[in-house]
Amino acid sequence: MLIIERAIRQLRDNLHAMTEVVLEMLELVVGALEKGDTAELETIFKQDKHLDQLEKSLDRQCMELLALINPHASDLRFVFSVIKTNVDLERMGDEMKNVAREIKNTTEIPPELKELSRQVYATAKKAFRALAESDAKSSMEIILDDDKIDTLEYNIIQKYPQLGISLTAKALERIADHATNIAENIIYTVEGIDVRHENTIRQRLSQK
Amino acid sequence: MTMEDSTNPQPILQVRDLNLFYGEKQVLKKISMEITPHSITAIIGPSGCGKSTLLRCFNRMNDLIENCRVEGSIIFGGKTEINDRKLDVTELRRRIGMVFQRPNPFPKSIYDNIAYGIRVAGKVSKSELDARVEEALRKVGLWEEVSDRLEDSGMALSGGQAQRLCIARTIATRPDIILMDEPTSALDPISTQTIEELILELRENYTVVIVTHNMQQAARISDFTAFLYQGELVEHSPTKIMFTRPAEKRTEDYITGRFG
Repeated sequence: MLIIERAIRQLRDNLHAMTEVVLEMLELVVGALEKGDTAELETIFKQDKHLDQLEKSLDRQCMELLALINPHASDLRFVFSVIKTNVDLERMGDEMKNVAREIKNTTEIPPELKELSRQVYATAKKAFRALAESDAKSSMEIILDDDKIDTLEYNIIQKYPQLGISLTAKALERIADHATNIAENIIYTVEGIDVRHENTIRQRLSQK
Repeated sequence: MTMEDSTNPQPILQVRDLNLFYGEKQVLKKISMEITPHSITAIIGPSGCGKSTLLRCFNRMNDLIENCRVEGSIIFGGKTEINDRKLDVTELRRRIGMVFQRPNPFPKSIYDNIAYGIRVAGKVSKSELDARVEEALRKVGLWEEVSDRLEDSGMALSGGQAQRLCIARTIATRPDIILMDEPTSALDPISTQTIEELILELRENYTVVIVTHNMQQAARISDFTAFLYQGELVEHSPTKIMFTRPAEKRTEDYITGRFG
């Protein structure tokens, strides 16, 4: 295996380890909302600390790879995307802490919030699989589907005035936004196209 | 092996206050450094900084240069003083081999290029010789390419193949350390890549010290990097650190292309 291939594989493995942690945290969040059982939420805070450490170590690895191996073309796009995805993953962890904090004090969980959490979980899971498989096509779908989550969140905030519920909905929606960012990074890695802030591209795609 | 052994093994080379003069001119100035076994150390620095000269100190290649005077000490394997004038230099060079910039196969068959050093080192049977030639050629990934033409001249190989033959020739005598003086600067990019991969594999069984003009090569393959400037060892640290946050301003300037 080439030096660069070995380095990229290690980077992929560590990135995968991070997405696994985020997914576990999300499962806890969804479970807590579904069952109203907040006992396991403490684990979120521990997991988040772990995630912070993984973020630092992944950054260091990217830095060393850039300095020592000088990746080019698709390899360079990949490393560049990993640096950005790393931030999104860490933020997802932070948002889950916010959710955990809010739902500890919320007695009534509206069904819409449960639905939102399920959708956010599905989106994140799809984004992580696309990431592992460098799948630009499902990344596009994730970007286009984000509007549904935004609508759901908007409706919750309109319907339920309680602050805890609004903040939870907002945090969940932010998690999906980070998944969308990751999807954009994947498209950039695979296709070399920057689709951020490009409504024309989204419109063209949604018409297909 | 204890914890301490694995994290901090006994250095295979210990250089202490090494000075080297060509006539009046001092080329190496008070160099002290240690080389870790089973590591790849790259020596970098601008032309004329003394990096090849330093490398040649490790197996006494400077003996061949007139007016060359060496002071200081280089301890090999914890006990052998390389600068000891009574040392058996042939045996030293068997244990510390050298690969040069231009592939320099002997004008002999591919087989004899490898067999030569083994025969010099001691008497071996034909079957053992065959086995060791094959082993050496396999280690450099050349066996598949040349096994059906071992009697062809070593001079007929391509540049990259010839350089791998020279590495095989060095390996065949079972050295502890392999010194490489710009081993890829005469090769095309693909051959260079093959040699770099090979050097990484060599680390498992040998210690490698490589002089290179190519800073990216040092970055890609070495565990430690030594930066030499005007005969002084400016910095010697893990390559990861050297290329991300060097300690010395002069190192920073050199690796960012500000001078040299």
